[in-house]
Amino acid sequence: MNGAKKGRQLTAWLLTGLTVLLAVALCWAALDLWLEGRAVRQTDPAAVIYSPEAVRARAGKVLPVFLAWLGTLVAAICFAPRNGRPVCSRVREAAQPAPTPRRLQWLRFGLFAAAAVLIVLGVLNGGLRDVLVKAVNLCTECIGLG
Amino acid sequence: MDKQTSWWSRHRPTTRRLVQLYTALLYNAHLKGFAEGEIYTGKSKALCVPGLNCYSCPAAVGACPLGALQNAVAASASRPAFYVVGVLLLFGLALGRVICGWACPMGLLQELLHKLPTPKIKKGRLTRALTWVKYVLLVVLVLAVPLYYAFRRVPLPGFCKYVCPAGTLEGAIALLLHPDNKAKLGLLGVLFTRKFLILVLIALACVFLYRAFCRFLCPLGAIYGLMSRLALLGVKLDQSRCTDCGACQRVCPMDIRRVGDRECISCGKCIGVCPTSAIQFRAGKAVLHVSDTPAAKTGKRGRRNLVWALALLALVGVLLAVNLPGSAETEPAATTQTSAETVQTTGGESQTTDATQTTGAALPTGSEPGQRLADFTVDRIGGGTFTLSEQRGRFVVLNIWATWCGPCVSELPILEEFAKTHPDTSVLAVHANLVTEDVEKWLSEASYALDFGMDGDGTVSNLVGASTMLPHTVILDRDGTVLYNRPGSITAALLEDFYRRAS
Repeated sequence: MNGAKKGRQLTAWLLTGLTVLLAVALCWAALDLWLEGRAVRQTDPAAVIYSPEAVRARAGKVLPVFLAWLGTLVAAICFAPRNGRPVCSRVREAAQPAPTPRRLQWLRFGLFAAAAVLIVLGVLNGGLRDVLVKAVNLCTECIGLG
Repeated sequence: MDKQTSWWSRHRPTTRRLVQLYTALLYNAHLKGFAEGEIYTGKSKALCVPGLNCYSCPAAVGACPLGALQNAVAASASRPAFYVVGVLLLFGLALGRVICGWACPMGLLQELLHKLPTPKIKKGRLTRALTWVKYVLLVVLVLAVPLYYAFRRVPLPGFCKYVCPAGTLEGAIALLLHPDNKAKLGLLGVLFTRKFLILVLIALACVFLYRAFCRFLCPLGAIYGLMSRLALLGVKLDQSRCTDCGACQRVCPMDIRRVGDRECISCGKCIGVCPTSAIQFRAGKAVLHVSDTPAAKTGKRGRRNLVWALALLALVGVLLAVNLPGSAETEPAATTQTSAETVQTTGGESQTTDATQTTGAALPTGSEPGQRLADFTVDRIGGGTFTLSEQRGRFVVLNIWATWCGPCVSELPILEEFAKTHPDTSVLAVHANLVTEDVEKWLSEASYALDFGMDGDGTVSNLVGASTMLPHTVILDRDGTVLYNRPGSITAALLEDFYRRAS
């Protein structure tokens, strides 16, 4: 095994370790923050758990891991060949498309018609407006704010 | 340098990556939302986009089909979910899982994470078995949970609330990063912590496993997967030319058994490796050369460039339409208003007087804690009016809610219990100005022993400085001074704590 390949492998494994470490650090920071905040909330129900100061303090602790991860990532990108290179398509001879079974075609047509009918019915029964109302307002708990 | 080994030839994005970037930008064209920290409220949000893209993202200009489906199921007790089911059927039949491979911002994010140069976990029997988890999530969290709670009159989009990483990343985190939303950090608690952990774990899994969320957890992919065989567009296999060599299955990063099955996202990686050219990207009977085929590089280049030029023109049009000042806002956007005024919401007409005449105190008028809330009168549902100045000497709780908001409905019993146990308080639950059903009918069926008002023209929301976030609660002491004014759910302990302080 030549040196360059060894270096690539080492960087890849280092990046793996740091990626896991970064994830653990982020999870730990969130959990630690919440546990601390929960204790405060027992005495003051209006206390803010994720206060800017508390978030900043935890972010400061995660930052060194993040920077190490970022540095290793840059090194790994420089060392490693491109990951997941797309396969180039080489169509030698155009194949004739296989005929779709007639039954399948009818089913598809029927379902398209059903979809169109459902959409029209939905617009008429106020479903379209429902979507709009919910999309232009924020339900706090629905996006995890809670 | 040889053309084949030049940096550009090795790194240039594929057509699929460009389409992914294009659709991600198209779905999230309201870029000024990031600068303003507010979501888009234009009419286009009534339309669902095909891919998973949270509609609470500040940049989103369309609705998430999965979120819309859950909300429609949650409201199915009063209105059948025709529109969203029709739209999903249409997307599934026309595009199938091509949407996952080409037009899903979450798919793009997962693929970018997977590009980190680390060792990868290969697909196998276990990953194939795990693909069924998304169907379980579809049945349990997207259909069963919202349906169960629908009959208990609590709208609860289970997947959005408990799992969806798109909501956490694009909705919660993207909104909270804006300095103007710093006060909303007070909303965060156990739910956010849990969803943040899920987001981190999914992101970690995506580094080592190709599209881990898409393969194992995404219910939208599960829905489109059910329609894969019927989809007009996608990678199709000509069975008569197939020699069962298995080359397509080996090169595929997804857990397919055969090309075009429920797990195939039509990425097109298999097209070039098929020794008999039995795999093609087809739209009905037409063959599309979507990869960098020799044909596309020669004869079809002009047409391809024309398609891209038109698509970019459309994107620029959308970007201008939603980002230019004064772009159409159909829904009344709530803004902070701390001026001294008395607002009469009856019949949508407003009358203004000097608030100091009614409060007669030195405290500044406004909606921030420590300020005195301006007087207002609102119609009670079921008759009568509620005037804030008439509540002087009483502990007041104002709650802005909506029938379509799950956490809002969940906290109504807390407010009811509080009002019942503290007769010296005035608790008013004001329904937000946007309604999806007959609120009076809804309340008569739910029969809460609470005072309810209707914020017909959004003036109460404006007065207390409520944003588009619901629920929103304002607590006033016996002099009408604001003690608490925040969006998000409240607890019985919090109400008791403020009541004790005010006493």
